Amino acid sequence: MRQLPHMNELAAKPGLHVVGLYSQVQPLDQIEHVLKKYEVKYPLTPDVDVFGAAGYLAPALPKVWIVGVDGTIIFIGNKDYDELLEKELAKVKYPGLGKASVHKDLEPAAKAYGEGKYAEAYKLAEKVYDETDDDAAEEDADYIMERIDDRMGSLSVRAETAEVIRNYQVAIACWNELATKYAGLEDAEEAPERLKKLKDSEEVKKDLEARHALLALMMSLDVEYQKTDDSDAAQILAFRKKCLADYRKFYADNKDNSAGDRAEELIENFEKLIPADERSEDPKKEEPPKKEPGTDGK
Amino acid sequence: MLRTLCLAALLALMVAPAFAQETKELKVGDKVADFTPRDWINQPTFESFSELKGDVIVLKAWGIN
Repeated sequence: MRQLPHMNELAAKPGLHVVGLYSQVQPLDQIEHVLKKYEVKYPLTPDVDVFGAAGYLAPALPKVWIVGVDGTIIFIGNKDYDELLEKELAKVKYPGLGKASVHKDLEPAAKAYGEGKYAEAYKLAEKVYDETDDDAAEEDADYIMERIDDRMGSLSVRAETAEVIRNYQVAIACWNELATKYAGLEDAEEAPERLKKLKDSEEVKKDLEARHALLALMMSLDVEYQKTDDSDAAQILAFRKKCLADYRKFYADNKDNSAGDRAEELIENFEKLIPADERSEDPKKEEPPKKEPGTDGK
Repeated sequence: MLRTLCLAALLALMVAPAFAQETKELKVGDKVADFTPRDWINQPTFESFSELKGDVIVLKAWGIN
């Protein structure tokens, strides 16, 4: 955990992105307590099966994968990578631009882009584009403007789609990026209002709380799962029945939000794992799960 | 070995050792592999690591204990 401040420092470096792959099984509130204590702001996911299936396997922790500017993995290990990282970061002249060099007339625009000043970068690039006779300069100006336009377009589409499917975390993150980093650009004009609307919405707040509660429930069940004996069929069955009961109760309390939709999927899958004669259709017939601190999803 | 309860793992009745055998571990030189988690803490706005190409990415697997 002493590496968390170090990861925070790395995450603050322009041109470097840190992604956390949470690889142990603990209750969500314990993990969140640590993240809050160390002010961890970079994204992380506890979906170990998902990132594990992608090849990020870590039988021992911690483990680091460094991806270079060309998109390939340049390091895998857990120590002695600072020098390599600095060397690779030195190649990133304009963070986020995807280009290491530009025509000299576009250097101010590229520099502004690298500093996250996208409105300024756009205006500088547009000025060069309008005034230059140099094809190379025109090409780089167009590249910068198009990159900004494409990014704004992607964020807008993502935000709109996320709102439709009630993935409000994604919607809020995208509108927020548009509102803060692209302020002053026409295509980002509606972002502040869209963001405010989501943040002020009681329905959105309840949906986010429900998603959080479901994640907490899933992770608490993961903790319990660690204590089961894989070779004991009766234990596994009892555990699955408990999961089914817990998800059914969650669904009953959250039918009107997106977490309820997900709980419904989980119920369907657990029903497939439990023989029909062992299943009870009426949640009230299931023995109420023993309430332990941190396991009730609240 | 860590045993976790994602949907796919339950359906397949897999435990981690079996799961690990079927997954090809990434090695140096490989292209960065994308993944799409159901859950994020501190939601990112990128969907694919290809959006970050040109920059440096550090992925770190860690835990509290």
